[in-house]
Amino acid sequence: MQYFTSGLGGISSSAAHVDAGEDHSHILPLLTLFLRYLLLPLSVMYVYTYLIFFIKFPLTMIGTHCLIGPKLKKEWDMREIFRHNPGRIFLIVLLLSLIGMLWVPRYFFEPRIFFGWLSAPYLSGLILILIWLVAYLIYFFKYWPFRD
Amino acid sequence: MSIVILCLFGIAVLWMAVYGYRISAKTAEDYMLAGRGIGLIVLFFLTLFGISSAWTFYAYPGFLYRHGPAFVYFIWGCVAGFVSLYMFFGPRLWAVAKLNHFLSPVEVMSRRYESKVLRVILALILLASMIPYIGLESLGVGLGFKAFAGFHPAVGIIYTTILLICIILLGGMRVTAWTNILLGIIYSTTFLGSLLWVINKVFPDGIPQAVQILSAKSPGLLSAPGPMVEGEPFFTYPIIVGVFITGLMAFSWPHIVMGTLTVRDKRIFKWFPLLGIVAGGIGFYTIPFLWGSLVAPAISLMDGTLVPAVSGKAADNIVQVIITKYLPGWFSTFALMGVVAAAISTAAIQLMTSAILVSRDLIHGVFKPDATDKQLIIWTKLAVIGLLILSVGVALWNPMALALYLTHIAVPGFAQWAPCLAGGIVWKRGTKQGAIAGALTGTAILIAGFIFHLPTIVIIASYIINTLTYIIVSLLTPKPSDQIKRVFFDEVDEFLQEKA
Repeated sequence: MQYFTSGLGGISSSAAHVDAGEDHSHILPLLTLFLRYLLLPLSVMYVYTYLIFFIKFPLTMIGTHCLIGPKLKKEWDMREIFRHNPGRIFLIVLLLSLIGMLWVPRYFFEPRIFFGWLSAPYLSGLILILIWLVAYLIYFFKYWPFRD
Repeated sequence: MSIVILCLFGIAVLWMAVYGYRISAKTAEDYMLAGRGIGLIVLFFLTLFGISSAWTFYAYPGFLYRHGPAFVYFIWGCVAGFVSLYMFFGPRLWAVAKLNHFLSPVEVMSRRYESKVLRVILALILLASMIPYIGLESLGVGLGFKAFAGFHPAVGIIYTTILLICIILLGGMRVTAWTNILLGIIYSTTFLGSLLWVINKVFPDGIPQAVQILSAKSPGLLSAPGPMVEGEPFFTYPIIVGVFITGLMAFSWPHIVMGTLTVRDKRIFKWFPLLGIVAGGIGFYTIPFLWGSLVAPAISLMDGTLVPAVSGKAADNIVQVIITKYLPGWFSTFALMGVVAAAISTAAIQLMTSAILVSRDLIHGVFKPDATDKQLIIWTKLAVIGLLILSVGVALWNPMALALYLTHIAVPGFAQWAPCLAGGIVWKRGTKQGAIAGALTGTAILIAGFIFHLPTIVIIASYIINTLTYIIVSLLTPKPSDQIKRVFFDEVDEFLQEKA
């Protein structure tokens, strides 16, 4: 059972596995340092890129064309959501909640228990999901962009 | 008793497979995509229990048990990723596949980017990521048989293999989806039932009592970074962010993307996120979280415990050990059924998806484009048998290497087609050169990290570099043709705006 479960554990920890106890400094040390210290900004940048794929709002709502460019703006196609304000607001709410999820882990490093049993990482995710749920319910059931 | 229950369980699954075979239309579309007729509830079970494998029973609670609650960030990322697939990409992917009779998401991408090379690359990347995972499920059931009922592991492997072959060969995607309802109900009932029973028996004051024990004995288990690993903090800030991002990539898991093509009509995309968030994210995934982060460690640390604290990989069995020590012996059979259900529900959809990749994308797409429906179905069935043998063989051949392989390659491998998939659906400017360059670059980084034992942060780097490569190369290469824009964007918009 041990090797089986170690394999399953491995799946779960694809990004979480720190190779504790192994010294990788002899392998491409610059790359290692680069990744270690630039992980957070790169991650934020990545989530931003990820969201751009989902969400055109940075280009349409706040006009930050310089980030991708007006040429690129014409090519995005999720018009059913972007063409009206409720869709844009919906996407902004989702974006802000995801940014919040990246921000709050700094408060996880002290034992904080809410309502007798909720730990901070669980509660923050629960709030994220509830925000998504409320935004989704309002948008999809009041402003559903396709015809039923 | 165990043998009788497992036989009844097997007969029920077999009956569903035979019934599914009798009512099927015997066309490729019916066999591979259930005739594009899957409704909301069936889709929900197909998806949720396609994701929730034996991993959810063993490894996830075990990981929380060892390292504290921060790993739940992976699950929250997954929930957001899956829901995003059905909110944003699902309707478009479904519409374009339905309008053009595409049978696999890789086929959609190959037509979108007008590239057979991309089709082969994506199929191979996804197959390489999925096959060991399937083998691990069969192996897991075999070892679960040994732990819970005392059978030789080969019994469990053969049992699982027979059920999988019956489900997929006879019924295809339709029966895979139907059986996931039965399997999902068994799995969630067993999992939730065991949790409530153990809490009721061990903690009369409820979960807060478990929290009090942890606060007194090991407060580190209630916060990040969790207990030290060889003197080092485990869940540092960047690692928490990293697991969240890895979770977000779940929108690209191929066996889940496949589900979007089976949908009956677009209104299902309107309702599916509700079930995904409430029943899946908040409901089902709270069970392993409570097991692993509170109940199991509190039991291990409390006075007079029957299950003393374990460390290392032994922690992955902690739920199973607690069930066998604290609950009656007969319940173990149900727990074993839960594990079997979890493993089969995931392996079946993964096997079905893999077989479609082989028959539709590799054989039909490259070598035999004029194949008939009958030939496609035969190839898919042969692929199921071949892939099943291959996956179990790989799992038995070198399980230690397999563990590393899964850690560093398999799940991150699913994410390597994410930029190509997302861009292909919502970005008109994405080109085949960008898609090929991104997928190859990301995969190469992933493999290099595995071979040279680079820090696991490289996995995150592979996502980032893949995405950036896709965007930059797409912008530097000629735009897709007008025909592609018409078929994949304009017609899709018009179709989605029509009355359902």
